Amino acid sequence: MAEFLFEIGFEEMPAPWLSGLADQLKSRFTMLVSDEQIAPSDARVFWTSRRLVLAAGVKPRQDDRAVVEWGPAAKIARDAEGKWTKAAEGFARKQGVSLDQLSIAAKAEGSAEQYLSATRQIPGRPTGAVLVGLLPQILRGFNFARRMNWDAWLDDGRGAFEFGRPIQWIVALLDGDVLPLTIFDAVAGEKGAPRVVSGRRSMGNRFYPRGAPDRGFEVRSLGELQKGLAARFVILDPGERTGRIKSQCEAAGGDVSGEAAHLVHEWADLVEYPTVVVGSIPKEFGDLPDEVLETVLAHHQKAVTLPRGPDGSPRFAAISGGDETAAVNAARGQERVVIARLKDARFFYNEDRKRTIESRVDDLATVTFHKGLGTYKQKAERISLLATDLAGHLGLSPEATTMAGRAALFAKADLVTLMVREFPELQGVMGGLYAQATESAEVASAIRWHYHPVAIEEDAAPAGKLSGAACDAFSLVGLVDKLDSLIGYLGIGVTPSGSSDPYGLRRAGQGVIRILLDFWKAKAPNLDELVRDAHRLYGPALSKSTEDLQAALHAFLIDRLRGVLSARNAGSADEIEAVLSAKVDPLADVRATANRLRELGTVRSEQREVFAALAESFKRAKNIVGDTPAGSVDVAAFAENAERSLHAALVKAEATPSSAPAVRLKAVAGLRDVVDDFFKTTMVMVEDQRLKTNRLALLSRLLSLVYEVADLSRLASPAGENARPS
Amino acid sequence: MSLSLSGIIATLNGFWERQGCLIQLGVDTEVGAGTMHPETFLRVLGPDPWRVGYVQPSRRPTDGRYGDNPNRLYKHHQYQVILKPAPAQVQDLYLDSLRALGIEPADHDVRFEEDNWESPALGAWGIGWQVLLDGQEITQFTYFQQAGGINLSPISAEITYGLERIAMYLQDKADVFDVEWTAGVPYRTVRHEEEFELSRYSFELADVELHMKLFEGALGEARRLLDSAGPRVALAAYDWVLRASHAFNVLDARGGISVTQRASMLLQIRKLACGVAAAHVEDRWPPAAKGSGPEARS
Repeated sequence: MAEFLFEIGFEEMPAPWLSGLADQLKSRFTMLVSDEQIAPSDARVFWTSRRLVLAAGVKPRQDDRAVVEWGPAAKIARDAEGKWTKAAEGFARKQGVSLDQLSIAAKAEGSAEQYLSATRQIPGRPTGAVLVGLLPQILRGFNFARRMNWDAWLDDGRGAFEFGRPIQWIVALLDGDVLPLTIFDAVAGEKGAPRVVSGRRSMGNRFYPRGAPDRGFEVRSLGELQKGLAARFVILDPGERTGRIKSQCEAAGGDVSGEAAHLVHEWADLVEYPTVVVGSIPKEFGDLPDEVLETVLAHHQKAVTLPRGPDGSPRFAAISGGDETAAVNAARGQERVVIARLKDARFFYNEDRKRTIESRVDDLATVTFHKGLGTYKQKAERISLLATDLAGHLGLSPEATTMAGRAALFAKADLVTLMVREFPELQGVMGGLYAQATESAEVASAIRWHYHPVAIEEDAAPAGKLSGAACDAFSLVGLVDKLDSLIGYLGIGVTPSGSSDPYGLRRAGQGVIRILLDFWKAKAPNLDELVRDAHRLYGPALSKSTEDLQAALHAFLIDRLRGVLSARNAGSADEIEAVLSAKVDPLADVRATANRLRELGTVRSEQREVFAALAESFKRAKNIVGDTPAGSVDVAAFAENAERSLHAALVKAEATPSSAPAVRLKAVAGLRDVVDDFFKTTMVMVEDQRLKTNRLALLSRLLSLVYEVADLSRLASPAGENARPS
Repeated sequence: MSLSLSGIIATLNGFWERQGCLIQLGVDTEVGAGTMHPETFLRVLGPDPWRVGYVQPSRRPTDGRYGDNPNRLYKHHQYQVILKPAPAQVQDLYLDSLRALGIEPADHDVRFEEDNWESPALGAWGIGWQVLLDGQEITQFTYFQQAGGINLSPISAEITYGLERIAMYLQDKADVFDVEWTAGVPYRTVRHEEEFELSRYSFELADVELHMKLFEGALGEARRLLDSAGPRVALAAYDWVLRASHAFNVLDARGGISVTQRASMLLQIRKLACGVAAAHVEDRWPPAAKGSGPEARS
């Protein structure tokens, strides 16, 4: 085995791209060499902000290959005496083989048709020559989120060569021998002078070790590269960098789970030699709410919040690419930047608190919600009315109703505070904090959380943070706000398409589902009524009719419900479809829907084979019944025993409570044999109208038996799609 | 002894002059950034090599804080460098300029972090980084890709130093107004009153109706020149685009424009900036002579 080593050195690549680029490098290499008979093995990739490295084992030489070329049919290739014809000679000449290398064979094994063929032996080329041809294709093969023109040129027939950032050096070696590759300047759309020429020379850290006259060093193998980099303040392995950061962070008392874990990974790709520095913030800023501190630290300085110091002063950890000496300056510099921002924040916080949240609602008239949908003041007034009405419909107490109405009215008021203008990610949070001055704790927390839930997991915020009246107020405001937005956008024809969802409608829809599933305590709200009320409040701004809008919202939310159930593994895909296709609106009570799904999963898992058979029978029944309106079954019209047995079993099953899905499902499972028997012995679509009508009615009743739980025909069955009408 | 603000400027002038830059002066009309200077915006177009360095006083009315904020200013100063074509070792050159200022990168955390620059008003964008010195952004470093809606070739490197930030760092000052402008003269003495008065003007006093007229008048004049005054008017038209852009900035600070109005005004500026760029290219490198004129060979 020979070692192929490829390092692309570049100016700092965006950190979030790096691991993806390394994946691309590996799969591109693997794909390109897969047909080259060099048996690539153990391909590994590494990266830092300034380099991508690929190493793999390859055979030093391609295997020799035999290539079979096909010529004319055998009967043209040989004459009656079995000698090669002119046509065969011509073919041999064209393929560059002698006549004794020709043979007659079938193209496909067992085929009677015989053809002339020539087998050419292709000697394997040295792997180096093969790789040299592939290197430009590897370089060209990267997909960048954004690529740049850097006046570069590749001599591969395609010319201008864009990349993510300018390339500075290339190491391309096969067992220590240089594989030539040159990137040229592009000058006025033509090839210019060589710019980057591959070699053995890699580069160490930009600044360390101190005083080194030359940052470059020569390597012949991955081992030498790793050793050389380790001596030059570059940790090549991303896992090693992350590990170093984590342990340093933990040594400083930091918790590197959750959001911090994400930051730590980003840190590891920002610098080649990471060192965690700890900063301390003067105690006077300790009065700022934790949310504000964390936002300034995490979102604006990419820093991790640490436990406060013994005197209560906030602390944080940040990343530095410098050595231990530089780290001291880095910590001071970071502190200075953080403090400057916190000073701003403190000024905003103090200014904002000079006014009540209530007094800001009028200012919302200056903030556009959406140009077709009016201002945030209008939205605030609308959702306040909707929340109050809904609370009334649900029969909540007057106190709870007032609470929801107030929280909804003030929910958006922090959009006109200095703090939220400066730190938009604090929307909701600041409103909640500011509301505490004049409003009840329930109203304040409903404002605080009303943009949530944003994550799909059952235990994601605000799970566990709200209880009792506070949870009720949050549920109402969160639900009404999201529905109001959805109704507005859908009403003016804005719907998400593909990956484009600029107004976050999918997330809003998912939030609606989550509120109803995880937080809702009152009886299920009537969504159609809500659409009607919201439509009336929006007025002529919405171009869709109320009915169209109800249908559009319904379809949209069903999709989101499917998404939530599936993301949470609440059931298999076919079970989810079965439950969503039941003859009961899945949105009428999403918790009941989730419950039906759970029961279906449980009952089915106990009798898989039975449900597979039932799925098939139900498909069959559905196909036969089609759109025929269900008639009533006439016991006197039965001609077969199987009909009678099915009917008797049905009547028994129908006596089980339809409100207990598990019981009903088990009852249906018990019908399996009589149903099978019915289909085996009884023809439904017979000439005799009376028999036919009666049998159709019987099948309709079978279908209706569990239609309120699930449409069993949607479940996967062995015969699957092949079920055919009889 | 760390450098004063004027010492920093003198050092950068000397450093970049040695790198073959023409040392220029900032443009003499109000702009929000050094990029808007014709020595950048128009010189990055076309094939001619170009190297320039200059200080650009940059007015951003919305950033005014009446001289009360230690970090934010109505007017700050950028040191702007254009290197066209971008030299292969331009990052190292930049790091050398920090050393010239007394910042030894090995003693600090100096980092190039992704930050792509875009100016919707100029139809311009580039790929690059913000340079962080111990967590503080001190420079915007950009490989220009497009200006005035025109794809660039060769690519220019733009280095924009935030002079106040660098001075604060070098002099270890937490408040910009404590920075030493020149030996014994603080920034406060030189600029504080101006910060106060101009903040007050743009937030409280600026006549919205007048600025709306100025905006429309300036754009109208630029449009008239481009549409009907024949060749060789691009530079004059560009002055008017800059004036319109400043009127827009004042209106933005004064709160005189709605969100939709804002977008449409930016679009109008962009259209004319693109018109200027196209006219300038047409003047300097007429289609027939493209690539063969005396300018192109220089």
